[in-house]
Amino acid sequence: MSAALGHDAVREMLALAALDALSPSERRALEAHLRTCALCTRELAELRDDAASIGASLPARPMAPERESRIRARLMARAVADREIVTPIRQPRGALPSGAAPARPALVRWLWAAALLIAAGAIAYDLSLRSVIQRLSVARSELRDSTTVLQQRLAEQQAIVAGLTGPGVKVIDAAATSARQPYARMFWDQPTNRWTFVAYNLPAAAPGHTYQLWLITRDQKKVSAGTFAPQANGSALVRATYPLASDSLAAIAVTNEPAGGSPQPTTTPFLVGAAKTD
Amino acid sequence: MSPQAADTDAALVARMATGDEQALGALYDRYATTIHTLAYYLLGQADEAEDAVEETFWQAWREAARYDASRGAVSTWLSTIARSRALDRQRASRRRAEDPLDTTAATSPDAGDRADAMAPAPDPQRDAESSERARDIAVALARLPAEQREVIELAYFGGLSQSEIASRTSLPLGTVKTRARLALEKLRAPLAQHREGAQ
Repeated sequence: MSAALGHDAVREMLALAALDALSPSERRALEAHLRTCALCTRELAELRDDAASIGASLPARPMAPERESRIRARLMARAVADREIVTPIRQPRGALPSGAAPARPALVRWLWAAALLIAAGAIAYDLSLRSVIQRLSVARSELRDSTTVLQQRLAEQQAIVAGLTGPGVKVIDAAATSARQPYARMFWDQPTNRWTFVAYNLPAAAPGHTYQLWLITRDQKKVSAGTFAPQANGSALVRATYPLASDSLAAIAVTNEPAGGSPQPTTTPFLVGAAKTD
Repeated sequence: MSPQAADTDAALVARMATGDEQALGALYDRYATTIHTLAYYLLGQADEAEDAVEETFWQAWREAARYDASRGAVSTWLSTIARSRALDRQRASRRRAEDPLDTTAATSPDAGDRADAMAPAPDPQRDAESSERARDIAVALARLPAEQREVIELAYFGGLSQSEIASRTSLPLGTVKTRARLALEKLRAPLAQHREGAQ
């Protein structure tokens, strides 16, 4: 959608624009309209505030104070370093000596030309230096980001391996209760409270629905371990961290729930696995 | 009251744009919990959420000069950045998953319990006013017709585009647009009430 959009067409899409649910081409068309329409600009601002309130409705979850302080300190340090890098370098001072005796016109012209040449060279050098510093700053930032991503990826892989192979891992198999034959296995790494659920042969959830994984305790408490959608080939992986006493798990189950999940199961589980007592 | 405490959000962002890192600290103090709450809800893991918090404020610092008050409040701007960073992480996490496995799912019981998270929060808050506002909005959300709430939750928390929502819910695109608009407009009343109360 790259063609210019009419006012009414844009107004219709404002709510979804506020929810950041437009495709890049739709967003470009919208931006083009907003440049000339104060009404839509104002309305979009209001809808954005409305959309942001969805996040504000969540029960507050503060960080641990020491972590909050650590992130604050790191941000401040980065900001100081960043400010020092981007602060414009002072322009070079004039090359003409002050208090020099009056010179003859030809000599003055020559001195002016030389001074201008030197100043131009200095400015060019200055700009080039600044550009190099900024490029290095960006490169450093990108390097740091990619290092962080690699470290996270490694940590994630290690966590998966640890969750499957740890000495305290308990395994619970879940078999289908229907004619189709989905199969699943839960790895419960009891010492770390990590849960790794793998499933195969799952059909796609119905439109508007999602699968939800449950931990069922011996006192029949049903704890959601997350909603998920299988891959096109029917496989799925769910990871969760949840503390549970080693003898309190009765079973795991998967149900079909409305999109977004449910606080408690609303349908009969189609995959169930009883936890064996050690 | 110190001069910094008296600064409005927009004034803090304006100071950040001039390279004043103290203003960044003040903005962080005001919004760290709000941003962490959203990031944790979307990512379900403390480490990931904390990284998203840092990325959010860092991006705010770098882009402070581009903040445009006519496009929404500072809190909206920050939430938009945070949501975007968290959804990027969510997608990256999915991409990284080794085939044939998929990590589309929420990664903690908390993240899975969206309906619980939407319920009014009885949790003690550091900021009573913010808590009251959150409760009122949660109530307004809970009162939305389920089909309207579904559309805005798929967009806001799921990061789905309007076409993906239409496909996921088997609804015409026009219906998706209408439901999104109706839902957002219904959330406006409790918001307006708190804005008036704050003045």
